[in-house]
Amino acid sequence: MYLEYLIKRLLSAILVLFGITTIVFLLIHIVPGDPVEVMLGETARPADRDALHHALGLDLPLLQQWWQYLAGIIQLDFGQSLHSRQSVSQLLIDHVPATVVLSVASLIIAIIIALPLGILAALYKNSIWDRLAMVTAMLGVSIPNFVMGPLLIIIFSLSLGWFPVSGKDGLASLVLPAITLGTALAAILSRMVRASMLEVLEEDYIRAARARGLSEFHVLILHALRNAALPVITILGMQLGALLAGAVITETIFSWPGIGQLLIESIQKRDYPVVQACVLLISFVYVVVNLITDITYSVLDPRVRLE
Amino acid sequence: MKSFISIPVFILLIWLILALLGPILPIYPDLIILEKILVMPNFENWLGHDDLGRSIGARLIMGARTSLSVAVIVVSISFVVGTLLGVMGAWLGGIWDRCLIIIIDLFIAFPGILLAIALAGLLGPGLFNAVIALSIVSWVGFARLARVQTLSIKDRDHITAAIALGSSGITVIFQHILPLILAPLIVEATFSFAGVVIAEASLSFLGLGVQPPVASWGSMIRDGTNYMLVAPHMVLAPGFAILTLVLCINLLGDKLRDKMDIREMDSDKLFNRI
Repeated sequence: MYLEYLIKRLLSAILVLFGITTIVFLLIHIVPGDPVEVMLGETARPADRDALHHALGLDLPLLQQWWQYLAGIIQLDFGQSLHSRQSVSQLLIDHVPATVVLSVASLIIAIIIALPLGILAALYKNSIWDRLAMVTAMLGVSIPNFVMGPLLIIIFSLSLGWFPVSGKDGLASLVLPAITLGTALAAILSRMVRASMLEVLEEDYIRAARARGLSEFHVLILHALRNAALPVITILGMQLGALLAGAVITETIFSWPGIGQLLIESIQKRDYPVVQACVLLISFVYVVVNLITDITYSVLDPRVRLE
Repeated sequence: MKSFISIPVFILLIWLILALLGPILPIYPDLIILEKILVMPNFENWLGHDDLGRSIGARLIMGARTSLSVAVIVVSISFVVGTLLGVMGAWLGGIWDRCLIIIIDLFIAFPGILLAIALAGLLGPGLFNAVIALSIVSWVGFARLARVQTLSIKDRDHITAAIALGSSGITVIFQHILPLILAPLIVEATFSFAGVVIAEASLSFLGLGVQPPVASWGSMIRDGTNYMLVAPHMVLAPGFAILTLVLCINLLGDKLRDKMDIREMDSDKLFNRI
């Protein structure tokens, strides 16, 4: 039964990845614009163009190109950049660490903000604290990254001089991008923690724990929060996509040398192989994380498998 | 209805009126005044001027037009297309529904704004392409919601009765299903509207949306980031504009949801709107 669920889930993830790969391939080939023109410029001789077309395999039938492209992806070969002629895989390897660092840091910040905020709001439901927490959350959801980022730069870099404006140079340069990306996530997370805690606090086992005379801290952290964590973890997994998308903009604001910045730069330079690889990488991470979230969840809460 | 005249609605109305009246107001968003380059806000120039000496207040109003018109167009397209596809899928069932589910899953398996960025990038910068990219991404939410809602009411007695009385499928859908599932879809549309406003501004911020000299709040922030030290108002004014608009729409959406008594729709709705 459980194995069946796992296999079903895995197959659907593979199907989705295959679908995304194909869509990205089709998009790049349907959209007007010839990569050869990007590489050689408009003044190139027709003979040179044809030669390059042939060298890149662009003169092959679409189906065959698609096949080669899939075969390349499986071998982690994404071709080479039209601009720097570097291997795309190398470019990805160069840019992934920065994005991972930024995402993890924002995740930590989001949890640090959201947990106390959400718990407080749930404990004192409908009090002034609750309202304050939820207004903060609403504000956080409504401020886009590209407003939050410059705002933080103006206050903390330009006025106070505490952190560098942009770039990646030590821990100090991580603070502002991570806050920019983390607050948006914290906002949605605190709403989830609140809703989840409210539900759990009604349960009998909480009353039982209190009746046993356990300290309030004990009740809250060990009994309530542990059970409330389940749905929150799921949301966290689902939000990773939003986090990665947010990273694209945040990295652009702070010139943070990650995948997001690589993607935007490549879009501006019409460097299709790189765009393609970045999009694939991000969706791959997204699908895999969703898969892991689902599986973790089904391990923790067996009821899920039956659906 | 009285309670709907609240502060968020009031602020929304102001933006709407400003955007609608923009072309006939005595404002000149493209007028370059060289001696006012980077002038900070003061009594004479409320919101100051930008790096080319253009009035930021006037450009904000022009930006509101961009923002709101893109949002209206995109949300209308995706509302109609998404709802129809979702209802049809649930109604017809079988192979149609299977296909729809696969397509929806494919789109959901991917962060929407990222797909919009990639699409807009590939299609090339410009407002028209931005609208296409955003529409392709945002119909999915409506389709998913409409499908689930239709499935939940499809077997109700009044629908069985309508079918038994010989109503055609189209009549049943338009007269007996759509009116019942409209409330959650409207709430979805509200949040989607806020999402599209942010997404359009994001695209413009990345240089993939409107092209100069047309103003968008996103592109104004993009221009402003080069002058944050000497002219922070170039970033703050459009930033505050987006914040007020999006915040008010979200508050309105929350309120509508409570009013129409819809259970927490998707818990991730607020953040992952597009």
